[in-house]
Amino acid sequence: MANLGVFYNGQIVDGLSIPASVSSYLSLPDSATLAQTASALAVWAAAVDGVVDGAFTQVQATITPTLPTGLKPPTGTAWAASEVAKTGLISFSLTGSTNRWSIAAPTLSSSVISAGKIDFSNPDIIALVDLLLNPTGYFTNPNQLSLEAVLDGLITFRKYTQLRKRSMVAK
Amino acid sequence: MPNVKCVFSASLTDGESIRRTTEAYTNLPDTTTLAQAATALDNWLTALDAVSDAAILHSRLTIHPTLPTGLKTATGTAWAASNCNKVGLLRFTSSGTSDSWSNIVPALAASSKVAGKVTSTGASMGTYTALFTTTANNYTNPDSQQILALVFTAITDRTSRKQSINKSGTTF
Repeated sequence: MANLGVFYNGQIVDGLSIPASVSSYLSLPDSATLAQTASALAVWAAAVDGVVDGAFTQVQATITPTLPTGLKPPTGTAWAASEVAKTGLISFSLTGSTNRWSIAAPTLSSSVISAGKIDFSNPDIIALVDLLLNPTGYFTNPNQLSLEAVLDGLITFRKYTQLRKRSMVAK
Repeated sequence: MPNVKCVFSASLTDGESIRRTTEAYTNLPDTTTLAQAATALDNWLTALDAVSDAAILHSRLTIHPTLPTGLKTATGTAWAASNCNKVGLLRFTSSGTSDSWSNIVPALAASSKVAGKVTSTGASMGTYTALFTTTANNYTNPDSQQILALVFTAITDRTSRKQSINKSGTTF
């Protein structure tokens, strides 16, 4: 049984409606369930609530396990040519909504692009889609609506602040 | 068996060392252990890594439970007079280091102050500090070193950027 570092964080709003954060760190056994983690978080929030005059608006617990082995390192030709702005969007239908939701894959790999489109017959794309759809109800959109089925894919550009800063420096 | 909203997050860096974060949302059963949740995060990272040419540098999993019942609401005299930059600073010793670590309490309650100092004997403050110093509760500093004892307290002002913007935007 190993321990995992856990970060408790809460948002508090004061009488001027100014928000602030309060946080604490823990090292919990990895056998603890999410229910137990949420209960401990509630105990912490209640204890904080007793010593502040501000009011909580939300609480969360963040776990930062070590990265799994086998991921690619920041080396090699494909990595050197990669750009985060080149994003792949995979759109899904949702249970209980007519809106779609898309997962964004920054630096979409050139190995999964065929004829300028995301290749949905590529084994790596199939594996990602299968992970997101099975079991049903496991992966959701931000509103906890279950991903239902793939609708389509899109390759697009997304500019980010860091990219803009860099281009400004270059000019 | 209720579910808990979880967000998987990964930070990637491309060939120009530009970073970008991407997320996935899950709805895990609350019986899921942290080890199982970490494995689910690993599976997502592995699948993401295969369709991206960037390198994944960091990852994290955040759970967003609903607020517990019984917390005070944003109403009443004490809340209206509260100010987030009036903070309490509680300094603790930790195992394996001579450095102490301080916990910040924004909008420290007026009831937690006596004669201009943080009261360590009040019921609420006693409960709060005991939460940290009770070994079984597993509280640590950011380096995962067990918190041992409360050694110092202070009341101080920490003006947040949001407050500065708000004040300069509305008052001056």
